[in-house]
Amino acid sequence: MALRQVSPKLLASLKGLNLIAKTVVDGFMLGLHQSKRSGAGLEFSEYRPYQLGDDVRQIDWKLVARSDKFFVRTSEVETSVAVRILLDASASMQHEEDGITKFDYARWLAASLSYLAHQQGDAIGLYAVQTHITHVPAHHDKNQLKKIFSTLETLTPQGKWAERTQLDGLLSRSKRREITIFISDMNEHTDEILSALKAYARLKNDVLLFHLIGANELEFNYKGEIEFEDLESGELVRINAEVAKTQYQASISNRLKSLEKSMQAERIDYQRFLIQEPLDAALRKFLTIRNRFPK
Amino acid sequence: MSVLYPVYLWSLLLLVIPIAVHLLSKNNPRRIKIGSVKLLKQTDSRIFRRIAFHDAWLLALRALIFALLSFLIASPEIACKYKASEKSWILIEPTVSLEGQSTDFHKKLDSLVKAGYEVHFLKPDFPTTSRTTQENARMDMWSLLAEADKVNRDTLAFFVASSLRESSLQGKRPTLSRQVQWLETSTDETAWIERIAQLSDDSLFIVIAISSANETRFEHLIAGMPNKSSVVPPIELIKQGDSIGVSLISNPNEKKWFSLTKRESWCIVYDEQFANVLPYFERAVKAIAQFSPTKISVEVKKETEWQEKSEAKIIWLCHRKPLKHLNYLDATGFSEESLLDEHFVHTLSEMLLPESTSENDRRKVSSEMAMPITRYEHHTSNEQRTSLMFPIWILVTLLVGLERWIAFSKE
Repeated sequence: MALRQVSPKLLASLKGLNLIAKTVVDGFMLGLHQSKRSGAGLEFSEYRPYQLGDDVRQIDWKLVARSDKFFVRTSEVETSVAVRILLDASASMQHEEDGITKFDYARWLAASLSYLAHQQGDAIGLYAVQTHITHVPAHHDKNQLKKIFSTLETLTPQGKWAERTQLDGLLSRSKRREITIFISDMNEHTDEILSALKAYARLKNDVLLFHLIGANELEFNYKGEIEFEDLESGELVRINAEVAKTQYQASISNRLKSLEKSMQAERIDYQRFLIQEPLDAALRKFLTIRNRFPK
Repeated sequence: MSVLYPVYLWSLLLLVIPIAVHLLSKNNPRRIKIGSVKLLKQTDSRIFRRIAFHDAWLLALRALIFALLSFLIASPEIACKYKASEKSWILIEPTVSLEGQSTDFHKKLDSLVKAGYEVHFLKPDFPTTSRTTQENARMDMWSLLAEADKVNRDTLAFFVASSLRESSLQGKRPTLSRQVQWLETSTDETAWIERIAQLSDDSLFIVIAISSANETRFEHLIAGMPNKSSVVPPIELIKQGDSIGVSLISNPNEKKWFSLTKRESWCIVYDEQFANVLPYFERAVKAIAQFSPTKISVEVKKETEWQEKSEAKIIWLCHRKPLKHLNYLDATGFSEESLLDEHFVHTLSEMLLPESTSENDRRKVSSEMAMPITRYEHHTSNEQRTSLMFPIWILVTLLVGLERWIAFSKE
């Protein structure tokens, strides 16, 4: 299966989230050969020949009169699934590697996921979490994508992860089945993100965590004496990179392992992405989760 | 260990460079913004200390390299052949009587001995025991000092207790590898009878010499022939048989005997080989005899006519050496050029007329004038000082390599 993968570096040269989302999703879908779901709905999608078992009411009689053949009208299915994207827009998302910040990557990912979900006919909502939460409530209409894209465009990462009370008020009630996607770097001060995740996992059906991490952050390929500055707290730590490397690698792998473990315990789908990797893996993961739901 | 050019040690000020570089560069490491420093803070605090340690090592290495380089410029040496346990010497001139010296001199001598100096006497072989018999042999200070310089190599300076007599400091001053510090001794005035000669049948010509630190003067005196004894201040004359004893009233030990009957006679003995230079000698010897206060008869004889029994003083001008005769002057050593030299007669007279002046001369030179030439030796054939240049160069090369390695591994 040949995938047309688009590297983040190429995406960075593109302007407009719409184009980026299209490029990513279309390239991805081209590889998957996944057709849109079609069935009974308001909006016309296509004709197909009548088969035994089809509802007789769906036969387009006018077409029968013209062509003497039986065709069935199909339309895109509107599902009752809502996809909510919780985007971490705190200052730590400014972490930059190879000219791409984590927030850039998160933005593209959010846009692509929205685009994909919109094509699936799902309602999409966006919650950008900073000190205050910027949100676009979940709907399925023509303008929803535009709203989401424009919100994403205007966001700049700053501040810290919001207080629990703000989040609870926004997301606690919903009749629909929901998929909640967290996109975060998981850099927290105490365990604010983790506790939010757990709260959602208990409340909702499906929670995904897309953990964004930089290759340097993982492998610590720095050299010499470096002063590291914390993007959120502004704290400075001066170390010798080579000396600290092994110890740092050990502690980050421990942290990732414990994160994975706690995610497993909470039945949260955990996925880690290097911001140097194409976005396809994230989309594929989303689709697998999405496919658990009825068409 | 010593350095040849201590002036260059000023280049140790170069040490300021690595220290300044270190201090200036320390405050601007690369700054990278990252999402969270939480994990970095968890890394062991020892890491921070090790970094500081790392830097301290580099600084120390660089400082050491600079120090060694400036040391290299100053040419370090090490004395290795001679034992370091050897003690420095105080050399005491044998003619100096320690009893007659001032308390200052004794204080200085005592403090030196306390400081670990060894007392030696300035005689051949440098004995440590106090002087035996007073040797009146003419002392050559310069050659003795040069000898001492060779034997006692361990120290930087000698102390030499000396009366600094001009007569003992003759000739070319030596070049020593260490300094000489003079301990000047005081000198007392001394007087002696330099010469007695018969002027006529009833009078004597006497020369008295008086020598002090500043001058040596001669006093001429004409005394009548005593019947038995007479006193002509400052001398006393005693007649015994055909000899007359002359002594100083101030110092009765200083006594000389003069024979009235004995005539001194000189004889020049020559062979054909020296016949051509004979006229020079003959005239010179006759002139010396004529101006001598004593009456001297001069003979000239061919070797074949000459008899060895003769008591006369011989001026020897033959190819063959005399066998038994002791009282002779070998004049064959004079070159033809020296015969024409203006000092020839003077030199010859010094050889023929012995003088006691030089032994008794108390005249002094200043200690500044008596300084030998000091030259700190290095790099001669049988060298006792080894240059440290090569091992230090190797060390510097190794250290530079180490420094580069640490610096690169740090980056």
